[in-house]
Amino acid sequence: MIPFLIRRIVQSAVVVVGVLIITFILIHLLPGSPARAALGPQATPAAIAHFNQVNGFNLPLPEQFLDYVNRVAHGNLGYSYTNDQTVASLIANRLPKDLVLIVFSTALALALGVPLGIYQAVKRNSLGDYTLTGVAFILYSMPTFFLAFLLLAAFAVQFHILPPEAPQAIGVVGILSHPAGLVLPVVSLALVSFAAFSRYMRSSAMDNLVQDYIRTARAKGLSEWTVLVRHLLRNSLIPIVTLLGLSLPAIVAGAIVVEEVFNYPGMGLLFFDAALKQDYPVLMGFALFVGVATVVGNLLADVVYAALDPRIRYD
Amino acid sequence: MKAVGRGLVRRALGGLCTVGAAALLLAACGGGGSSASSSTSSAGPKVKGGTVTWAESSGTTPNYIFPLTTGATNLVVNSQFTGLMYRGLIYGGYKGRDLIDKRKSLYQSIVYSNGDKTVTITLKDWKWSNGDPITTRDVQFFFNLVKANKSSWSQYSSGLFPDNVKSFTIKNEHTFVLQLTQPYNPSYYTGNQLATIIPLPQKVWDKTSASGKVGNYDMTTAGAKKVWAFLSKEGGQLSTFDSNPLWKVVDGPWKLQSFQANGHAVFVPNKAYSGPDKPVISQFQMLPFTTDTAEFNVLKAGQVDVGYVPSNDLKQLPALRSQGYKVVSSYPLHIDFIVPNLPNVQVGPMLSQLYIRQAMQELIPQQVIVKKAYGGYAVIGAGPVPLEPPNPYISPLEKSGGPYPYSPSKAKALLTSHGWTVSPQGVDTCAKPGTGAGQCGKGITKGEKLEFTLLYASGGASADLEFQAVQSAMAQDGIKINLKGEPFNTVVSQASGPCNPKQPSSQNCKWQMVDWGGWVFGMDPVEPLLFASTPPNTGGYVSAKANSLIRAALHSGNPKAVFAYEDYIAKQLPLLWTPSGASLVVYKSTVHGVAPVNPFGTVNPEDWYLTKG
Repeated sequence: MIPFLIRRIVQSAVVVVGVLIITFILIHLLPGSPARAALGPQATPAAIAHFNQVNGFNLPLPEQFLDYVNRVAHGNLGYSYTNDQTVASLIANRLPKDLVLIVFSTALALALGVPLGIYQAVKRNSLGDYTLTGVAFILYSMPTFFLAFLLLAAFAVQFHILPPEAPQAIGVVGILSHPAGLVLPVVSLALVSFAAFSRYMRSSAMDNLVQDYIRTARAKGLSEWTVLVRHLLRNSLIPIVTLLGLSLPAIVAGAIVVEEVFNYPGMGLLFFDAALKQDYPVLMGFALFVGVATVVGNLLADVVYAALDPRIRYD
Repeated sequence: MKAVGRGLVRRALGGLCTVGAAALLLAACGGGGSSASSSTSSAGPKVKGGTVTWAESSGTTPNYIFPLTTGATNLVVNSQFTGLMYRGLIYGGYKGRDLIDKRKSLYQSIVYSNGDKTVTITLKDWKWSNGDPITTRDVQFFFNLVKANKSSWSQYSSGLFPDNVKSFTIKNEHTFVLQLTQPYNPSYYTGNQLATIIPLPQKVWDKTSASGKVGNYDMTTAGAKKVWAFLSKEGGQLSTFDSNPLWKVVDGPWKLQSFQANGHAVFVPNKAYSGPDKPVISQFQMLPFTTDTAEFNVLKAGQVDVGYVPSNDLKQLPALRSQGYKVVSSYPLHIDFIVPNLPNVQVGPMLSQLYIRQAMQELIPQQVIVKKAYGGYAVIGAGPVPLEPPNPYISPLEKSGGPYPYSPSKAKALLTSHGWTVSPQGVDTCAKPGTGAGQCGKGITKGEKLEFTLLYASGGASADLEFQAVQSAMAQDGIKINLKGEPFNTVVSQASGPCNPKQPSSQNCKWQMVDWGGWVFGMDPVEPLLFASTPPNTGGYVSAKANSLIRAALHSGNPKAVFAYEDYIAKQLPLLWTPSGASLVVYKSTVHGVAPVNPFGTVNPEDWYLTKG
């Protein structure tokens, strides 16, 4: 396992550098200039020259890139000229919000999707199965923003049961101290993911239910509960782990929608605004962060595979 | 002066509270610049104290507390934020009009003499929150800082303030004298130049480090640069906005009590405020919003007291009124226009023909756009001076609707008489090339098509509807418009200046016509930069006569000079005039004093009070 991890970490470093290079090239291919985007159409040539000099945009591109890499290596992600803050502080302020949102919504989606998927597999072609399939299809086909608006209109605007915006505090503790504000954003994001998880879980569980080891477990006289939880669940979860990794971009994309609708300034909107305003340091910082998060996520998924299925070995 | 993005007029307003304010034009204004309407009324008794929440424009939060902004921190929300604590020499906006509010201004008198080359300014006997008097030394401190750091100062334009000040002389603690390099129209100089002055507490801020002692560092250029660098750095530290001793000394009606990095600011009254209209409410909160959608959702849920209606949600105004909100519209001193890229290699010869620009102007259905795209909350464009808010600069020609009102038949006749074969719903072609009478004009070849691409700042329903209407109206006389909507920042970075025909492959030769949302003026709508020979004159219009008329308007005190400039530009069409949208502020019926809205975007919670709902 250790040699595998070392190999993967080296590969990951190469991938991250590749992501940085590609991102750097792509953002410099955008039409226009960050100076004009930041200063507006009224900017004089002198103001633009001053801006470019202050931000190092007057240097040749390779020099700018090396300078960036050098700063990153020293722990400096750069300075956002549109937010007038360091990129590190922006990420530090925004990241906890997304972590809370994604962790809670994914946990809720799994908590609903996994047992209901197993239930549907066990009770396949029953009224309950058909009903849950219908609900899953409706939710799966519903855009996140639409679902968010429906929930908002009902619970915040019409009946005033829940707040119309997510907690505005900064930091995980502050956010969690206003749980009512988290309900609608988390549920909006979770319901769409839940639909996908339950469908995959149903399919995976149905495949496993006809396997020999399930028949053997039942023949041994194990209770149905033990068969389902100890044998079926564990084996059926493997495709869910894959799905979890694959659906991460979709969850993040959904998070952007939720950030927009529920006034929840997270990483997604930070990136979106930076792209519109050509805020290069933020774009690079975000690419670096996402690159690292992705390779770490993949690494973790591999480790989880091994934990779920003892047959998988990386030596 | 400031250029703005479409749908972003509201955002642009606050930028003007540091540059706006005009003088001396007061009597001529009639009618209000804003109007309120509501289906409900409140009759509860007045409450002393209470908290009012106010929605910041979406996607932008205060990130700079030092009131002298840099180019990148020149955000409306920063001006609104600091404007609560630091007041300029001149306070622009009086009862919703393009006027100076002399009561709220720091100056006692402004006297022009020596053929309008000398300005003598006397300050009122006002105090900082720490009890120190506001003196001419505080103004000199400001002047020295911006003079030494003009390339960093957002309000700087080459040749204007402080370049046009030959000397700054302190006569005494309350009076100072500016010797100008040339005479200026007092209205322009007061409204657009002196209005940039913000006295700063020299006795507290004239230092180069947090632990250093206060001195007179600003008196040398090197020292002033160090002071600016220090204050600018401290001014961007979000985590210390509410704790840094520098920002505890204010002269405005409000003091910052707390601030979160997400942009949530809580203000309490400055009990030492010397000006009129002392705050009645006990707390004012600025709330941040990620997007217009989020702001409007919170508004509909009734959890913000004063907010705004995004252009995409105009149709929901009746629902808001039924919830008990009042709605007030406000017009900034703003014009909107389509910029033709006159030197464009491909279409420049056509756009350079006045008769073609005239035909295009006559095909812009402004009244329809006002009604359908803006729900009636817009005013037509007739020339370089806005028709709203009421101001004394509007010439009779503009007041009448401008020289080229909507007339498809006139446009068609104009094109036909210049050698074009007009093909309604098709594309007109030049049938008679040449430069003689009845011919298409210089550089236009036989068979050339009257077809253009219009790049515009999209993102709002109003903008999309407006340009679809323009496209449709022009098509009826065979002018084909290809629309290309992009985000504001993309538009301004793509169309950053006129095409240089010697570099035909450059970015600025790739756009043909652009609308990035127009221009917001200071209190005087004569804008030397709009038609200057260098950027930001985006369309490349250059005219010796226009320059001479602008000079006359800027430097003579004769009001007719403004009309002459205005009418000439209105007729020459260096820009195609389009409607200018209002900003719509909504507020709970228990909040009073919100209307009329300051046309320069300044927020005035000191004028507000609550009644029991």
